[in-house]
Amino acid sequence: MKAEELTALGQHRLAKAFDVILLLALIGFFTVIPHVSRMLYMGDWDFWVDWKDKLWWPIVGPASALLVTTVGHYLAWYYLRLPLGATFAAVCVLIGAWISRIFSFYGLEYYPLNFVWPATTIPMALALDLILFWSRSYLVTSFVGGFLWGFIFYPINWLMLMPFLQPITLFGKTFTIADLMGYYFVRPQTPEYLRRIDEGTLQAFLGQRIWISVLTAGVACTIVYWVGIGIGKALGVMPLNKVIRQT
Amino acid sequence: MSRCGKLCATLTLALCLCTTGVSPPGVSRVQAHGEHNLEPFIRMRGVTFFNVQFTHDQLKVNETMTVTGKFRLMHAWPRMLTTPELSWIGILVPGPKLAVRERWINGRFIQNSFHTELGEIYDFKMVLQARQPGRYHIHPLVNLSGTGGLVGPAKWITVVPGDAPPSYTVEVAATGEIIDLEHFGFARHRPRTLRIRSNS
Repeated sequence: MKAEELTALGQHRLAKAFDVILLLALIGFFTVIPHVSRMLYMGDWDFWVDWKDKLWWPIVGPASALLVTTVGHYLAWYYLRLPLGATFAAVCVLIGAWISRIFSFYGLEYYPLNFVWPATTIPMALALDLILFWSRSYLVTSFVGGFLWGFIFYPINWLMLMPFLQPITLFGKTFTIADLMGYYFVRPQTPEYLRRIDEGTLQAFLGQRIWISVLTAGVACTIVYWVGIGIGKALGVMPLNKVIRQT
Repeated sequence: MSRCGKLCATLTLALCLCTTGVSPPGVSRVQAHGEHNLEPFIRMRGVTFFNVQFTHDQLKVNETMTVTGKFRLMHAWPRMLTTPELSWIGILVPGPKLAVRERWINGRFIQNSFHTELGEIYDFKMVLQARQPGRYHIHPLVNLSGTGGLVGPAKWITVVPGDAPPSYTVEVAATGEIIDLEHFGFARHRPRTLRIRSNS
């Protein structure tokens, strides 16, 4: 084998190894960072089934989940022109959330998994990527995809939540199954009066308050989309451009 | 080895023994919740528990026990703490190793928060169900809005394995279906047998 061939083979192997390391690093980043972001901003609304309500969860949930997902969405499109970044990030964060639920909530604390399941964002991420792929415009994606992200978060996750909203009567009092699980599986430092759910501010809309929540979530996500793009630009593009300019 | 090296090695060994839970003879291991670390003015002028009784000190998984007692919100409530209006009772336990099936206040079934007033005495009863084998230090706990959780006298409870995994069944009011809260929503129904249409 000639020296040139050996060098080419080495370069090929080096490039492959670099790709694998980069992919592993990206999986690690998009598993951990969005998970931390969700824990900070969504917190108890994402942790417990009895916190998943019609007022706060549909607004806080998608807005906080979109923040870091947009970073992946933006970087994949900017560098690779691949409309897969949001989906990749959403899959990673769901895997991270389930690792946390299984090993921490169930393994350490012994909460059953049906009490602590995390919300999914994969369908909305697919929609976001698809709209960017069709429109090739961040502006259109922010208005249509960002809005859709907030708007369909509740209906999609409602399929998983719905069984837990059935009524149960115990000693003459009626609860939902989710309520009863919250009382039964004790959380000593999260007393019942701290549970911020279905506060009275939207009761004036009677049965229509979920529409107010999902529309508000849609508008909020349109704005959060641009915050995510800004973070992606500041952390993933500007430092690299600076290095390239210096060299 | 120099004196400094010996000192470092001894300290490291002591630290390892402490962190791994191996304690020298005569020194008891601390596994409780540090309730005596709470400031005396909170313990003596906040909530006072009395007549607290636990019906069992050993349970099998799925067996239940009752914790009864009384607590009083003292008139001399510390002025640096918010006067509580909402309270919620439960137990202080590391995770739901024991779950709370029922909460009774002054003879009424109250699972959620309830209104409290200073100077009043509240009679409580809780029915606990064992879920995971182990030895746990269980306190009755009163959470007070604006103040936090204040604990009562504790007891060590041993939970031993039972005949079946933990289970709490209830009836859904609308359908009459009996469900188990431990795995409701995660269980898969057995798929129906597919009917294959014959062309002949």
